[in-house]
Amino acid sequence: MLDGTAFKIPRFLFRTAKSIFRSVPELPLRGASLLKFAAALYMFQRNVGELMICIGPSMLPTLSADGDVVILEHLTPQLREVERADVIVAVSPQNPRMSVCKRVIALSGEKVSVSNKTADRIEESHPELVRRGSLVSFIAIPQGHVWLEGDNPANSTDSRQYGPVPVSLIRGRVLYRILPLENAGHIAPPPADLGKASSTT
Amino acid sequence: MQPTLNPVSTAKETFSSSRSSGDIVFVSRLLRHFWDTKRGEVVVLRSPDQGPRKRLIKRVVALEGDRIYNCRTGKEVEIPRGCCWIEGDNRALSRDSASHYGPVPLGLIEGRVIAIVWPPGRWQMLSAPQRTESSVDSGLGLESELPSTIRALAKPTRSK
Repeated sequence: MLDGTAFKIPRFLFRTAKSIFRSVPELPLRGASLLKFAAALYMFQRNVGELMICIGPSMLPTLSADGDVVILEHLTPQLREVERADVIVAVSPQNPRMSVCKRVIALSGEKVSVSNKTADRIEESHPELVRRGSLVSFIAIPQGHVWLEGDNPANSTDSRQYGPVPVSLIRGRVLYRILPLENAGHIAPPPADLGKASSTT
Repeated sequence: MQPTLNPVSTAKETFSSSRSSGDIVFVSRLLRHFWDTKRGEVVVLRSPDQGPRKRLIKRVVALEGDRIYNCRTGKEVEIPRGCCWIEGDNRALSRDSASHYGPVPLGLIEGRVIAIVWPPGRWQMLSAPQRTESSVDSGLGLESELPSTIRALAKPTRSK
């Protein structure tokens, strides 16, 4: 009953197996190139730019609350200073494992106006920075720090809670939004003008 | 960070450009992803006020929630959430939390110094000095538990 041909290995399978065996000596080589690629990708991600999902209501209406995919570039904080009105991603000053996406409101050497309630909170940790006024108070941003705020001040944990943020915590600048597609493009300028910050120099 | 690092160089040398006598240390960037920073560890962190390129080596003295007595200003400080208190072992000459920065965010920490690698005669692991939780809370700060050599240097008298 058994036909000898039924147990014959099909030719194409045989050929595939042969080619796999032949490529065994090349495997370490392939692994090395894969490793090189991974290392290059990692270096690119760390130093040049990466994709990031920003979730949360603090940057409404500039970034939506349910998650926008943006391009983050790391070159700007390395090569030159960030500028006022840049949208940046920084390591959270309250939790080193989290990142926050905020807008730069004021740079070092400038003053920013805050409510008296905020000034009280900041006076606890940085009493030397607060300048009291009759209606509003001012915070002087010390050297190497910036003032970060979300575009949605009603629902944002930002410098008004934790005070000026060291420039060294900034990871990168948000360049473009790529998802959702209908809103793809440059990040919109801040909703209100940045008249809050005034240069003192 | 004298006497833990660069114990032979005098203060004058530290501030001049001679870096030949500097210790070379091994820094682990990986550990901070798996273990939280603990009090007494020597860490490398980005400068809080001089931009991301400048690095500091300091000892973590207190963590969030601790109350610490700042011997420079004579005030008691509570460390806010996500922050730590860093000091150099050579308090008289160190630019640290006590003299300039105040509490600094933990996010600035890049890695933990594990060992001194060079010069070979001083090859050693750097371990945290034996300290208890209560020493920070009682406001005594670091002085009660540090090795006696460090304690001698840590007295707030200025060395000329």
